[in-house]
Amino acid sequence: MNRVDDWRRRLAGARVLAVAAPLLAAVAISAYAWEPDPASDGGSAGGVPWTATAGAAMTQLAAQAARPCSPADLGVTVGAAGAYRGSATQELILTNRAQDACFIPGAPSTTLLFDDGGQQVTAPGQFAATRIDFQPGQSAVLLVGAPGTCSSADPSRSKVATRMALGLPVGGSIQVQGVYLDVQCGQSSVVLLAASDAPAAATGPQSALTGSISAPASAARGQVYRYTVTLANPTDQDIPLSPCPSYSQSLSQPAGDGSTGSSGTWLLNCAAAGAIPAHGRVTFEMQLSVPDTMVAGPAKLFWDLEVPGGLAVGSMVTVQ
Amino acid sequence: MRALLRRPLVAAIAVLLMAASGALQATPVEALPGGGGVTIGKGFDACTAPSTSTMNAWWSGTPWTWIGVYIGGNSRACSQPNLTSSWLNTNYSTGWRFEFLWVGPQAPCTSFANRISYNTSTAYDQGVNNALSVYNALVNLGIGNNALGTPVIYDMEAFNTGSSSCLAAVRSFVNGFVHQMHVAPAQVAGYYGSSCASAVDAMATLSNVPNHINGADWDGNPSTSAISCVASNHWTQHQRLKQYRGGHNETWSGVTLNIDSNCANGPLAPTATNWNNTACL
Repeated sequence: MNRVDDWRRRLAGARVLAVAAPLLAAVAISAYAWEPDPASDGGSAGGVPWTATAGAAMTQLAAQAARPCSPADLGVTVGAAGAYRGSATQELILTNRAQDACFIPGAPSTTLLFDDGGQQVTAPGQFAATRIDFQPGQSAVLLVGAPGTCSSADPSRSKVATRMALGLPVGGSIQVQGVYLDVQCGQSSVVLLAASDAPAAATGPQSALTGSISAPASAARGQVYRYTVTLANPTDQDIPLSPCPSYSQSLSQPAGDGSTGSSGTWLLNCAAAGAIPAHGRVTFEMQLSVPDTMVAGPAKLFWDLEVPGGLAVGSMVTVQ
Repeated sequence: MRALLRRPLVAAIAVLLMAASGALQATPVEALPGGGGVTIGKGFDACTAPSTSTMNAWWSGTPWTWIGVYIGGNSRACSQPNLTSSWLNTNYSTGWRFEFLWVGPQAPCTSFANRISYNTSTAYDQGVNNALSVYNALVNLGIGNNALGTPVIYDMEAFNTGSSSCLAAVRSFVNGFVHQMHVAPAQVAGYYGSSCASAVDAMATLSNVPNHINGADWDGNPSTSAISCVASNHWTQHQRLKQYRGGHNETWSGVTLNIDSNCANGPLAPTATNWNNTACL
């Protein structure tokens, strides 16, 4: 079972609680009457009251490129010769220099070139089918390696590749100079192929919000846990809470290969706050239910605004 | 004595240079408090420190509580575009703890590009110099309190432990490294490697014994009590980490990383947390 699915399944019950708890807590919330606080920039002493309105998490669908990369698309930067997972390695950074997205269906076919004219084809290892979708400007790291140790290893037996040729399925190759990979201990292979983050998605004014979390140090099992999140606007313009953004919150504890806890996605109380004033801040009351199934000890409290590049804040909490 | 004096001298020169350039005004905000504490819980390491957004995706609702970060050394395999004071501070605020890894020269009987000398005296000095570089890297990363008490692990990849001259060179290197790490402001010196093929247990009898270890033993058992080739009576006082699974992909919150899986029952930066993960004991 996919671990994310497992986490979601574990939380399914807790989410029922999370939905029910606000209703149960409504009486308690009513005690937090929100009134404008002239000493602050739109917040209140207790903060904008929490409301139980379900929100929606951002979808993070990885953009799939429509065409394969050609050698002309990819720039290659030679990184360090290093040591990783038992292999001597050579780092290469591949970057999409094109104006549109492209992909490679797996590790490029890599040939090591030696000064004596010899060649060695590198095995793709576990990365033969690791597809990388490159947005314009996006990079990926390619580590080409060879075993770092063998009983006969000796500097006098070095067999060092100083150039590489990277072949792509569409044809053609990228010639790379200035590498260093000693294959005296065995066959070369791809040790790692991993994309960096895609360039940030288009952001709106709400992405500029900064902020902080203020949370009591302990949370009681079976109770409603209350804390606050303060959104701050560092810009010169008011930031309207329209469209009203969602946020996600969770309180979780590691458990085996997964975790246990409570999470949910809600809408901010935008009707009450309206906007975050320029160079001002507004504090929002938050709450979540602490499942009985959590154990006494530390837990991860996490809150993030569901807008591209949105504020994310966390804190450690002790469950009692 | 030369080594003892080197660090204050380096620091004094750095301060003078910074003052002369006006750089003191730009001193970064402290990234982390200096120091460390025993953490009991699961962590992962990745060749490149992930972006903060990925770290966030891997925090909530996951078993992971700490990350191994390659902070430097001339054999570090991957560049680190994300590793800054701000990155450390932000992720620490979220709750992450850190295993700092240093990948300097490797055993002389290997094919790595940067190697330790077979000459044990030279190897010792190389260890000392790498410890000094560790200190400078920590300060440059904005670790507070002069990085006092901050745990850092030296990454020594597998080598032919049957070669007595090679093993002697590695032991001498580690001896020098640990010695210098313990010079005030002392850090906490660890040793990482293949639990058998990096001769982890052979470091238990050095005059300067590493404070803690991380044994790579990809047997799938997270228990730090069970590390192949490491005697059960060595590093018993919350001094063990174990890398129990090697490179594989995992996806959390829709974000995939290629990681190694680890358990800690030992010191991490900057503070202790007991996640009640008995599987790590």
